[in-house]
Amino acid sequence: MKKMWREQSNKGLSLVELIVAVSIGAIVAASIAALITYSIRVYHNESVNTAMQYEIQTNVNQALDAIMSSSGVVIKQESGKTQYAGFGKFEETRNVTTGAVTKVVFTGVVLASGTKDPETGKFDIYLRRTTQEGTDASLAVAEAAKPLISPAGDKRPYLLGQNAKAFDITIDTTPATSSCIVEGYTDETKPGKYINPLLVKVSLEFEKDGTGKTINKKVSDNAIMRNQVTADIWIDGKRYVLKK
Amino acid sequence: MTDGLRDKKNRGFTLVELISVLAIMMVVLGVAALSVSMMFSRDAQRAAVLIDDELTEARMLSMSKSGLITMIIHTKTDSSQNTIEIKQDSTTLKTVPIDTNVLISLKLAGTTVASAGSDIEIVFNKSNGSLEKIYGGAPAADGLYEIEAVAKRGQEKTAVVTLVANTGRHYTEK
Repeated sequence: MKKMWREQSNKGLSLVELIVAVSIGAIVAASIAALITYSIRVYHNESVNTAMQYEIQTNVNQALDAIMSSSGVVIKQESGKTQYAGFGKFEETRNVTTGAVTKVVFTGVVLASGTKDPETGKFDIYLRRTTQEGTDASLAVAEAAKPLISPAGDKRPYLLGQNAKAFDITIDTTPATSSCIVEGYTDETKPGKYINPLLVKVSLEFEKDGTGKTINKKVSDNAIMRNQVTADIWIDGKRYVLKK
Repeated sequence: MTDGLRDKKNRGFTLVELISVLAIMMVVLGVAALSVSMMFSRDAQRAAVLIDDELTEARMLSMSKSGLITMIIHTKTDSSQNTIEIKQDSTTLKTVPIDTNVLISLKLAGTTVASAGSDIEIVFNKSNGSLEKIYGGAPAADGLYEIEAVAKRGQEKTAVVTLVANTGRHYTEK
């Protein structure tokens, strides 16, 4: 009697039934897992995308704000790329008899590119608001940019953007194409000439690794320096004076 | 008879059983202790993430809305609630409660500027989002401010929100 009950109602699953059940379960689980990983990837990439959009926008805004409220500019290029650029007010002290500039006080914003990571080619962008003086405008800005470009020292107090791939601030200095440079630079004693207003171009590129793809953002914008530029401007170590 | 009783009803644990029970209990206790300490450290972490999020919002509001946008972190030393308040001129736009189990203070280069119990006021520049005012005055030149949250429970775990005066950028290690 007892044996009968055991045989009829308490029989386990056969091996075939078990294998079928397990494989159906595995297929269902695998497809759910694939769906979940896909949605995680989409979500992650989308949040990286949004964060980068915000980052590039704030970076460009800060650069444009500095350009538009300035009345003088010094741009330093290094192997074709912007190393640093200073925008702000330049107060000149001139020798009464010779009229030569003896001292310049710079008050404004310095933007600089950090050192490139040799592996990824990416770098940080730094910004500093400061007042510095020098014997000419380019030296005053160079002094202000010193902590931003020196390889040593804590750069965190100047951090503006991370994961930059390209950063360029330019003023077209070819007289034929530029709307503001009327005579190019010739030599140390004969500086080039420019006319107001000055048009400055800012281009930025950011790149960050998402999941399974690289997310890239580029912005290029022009800004006109709203104020009348009265001081000598310096572009890549060359001096330009206002055309009278 | 005695043997039979010993065998069936009055047998103690064997050494192997005892050891395995102790081992399992130690693992369970270890996990429990770890998660309790994690929970305490999350007090500080949670507060820092919340402050960081609200800084983002205050900075965005400063650049997009009219009027003076001020963010105030009302920090407390007693058991009353720490809160973050965002104001447009004198109107309160929102108030966000922070965990009561943290002490919040403001530091500049390792030195305490505002200890727990004070109101930390933060204003961002309207045109470029840089830091314009912090704790009632202009920020220090090239200042790197740290808003520090210290958990009251557990081993006083801390979490820090770093705020860059030059650019208004802020972040917390997640």
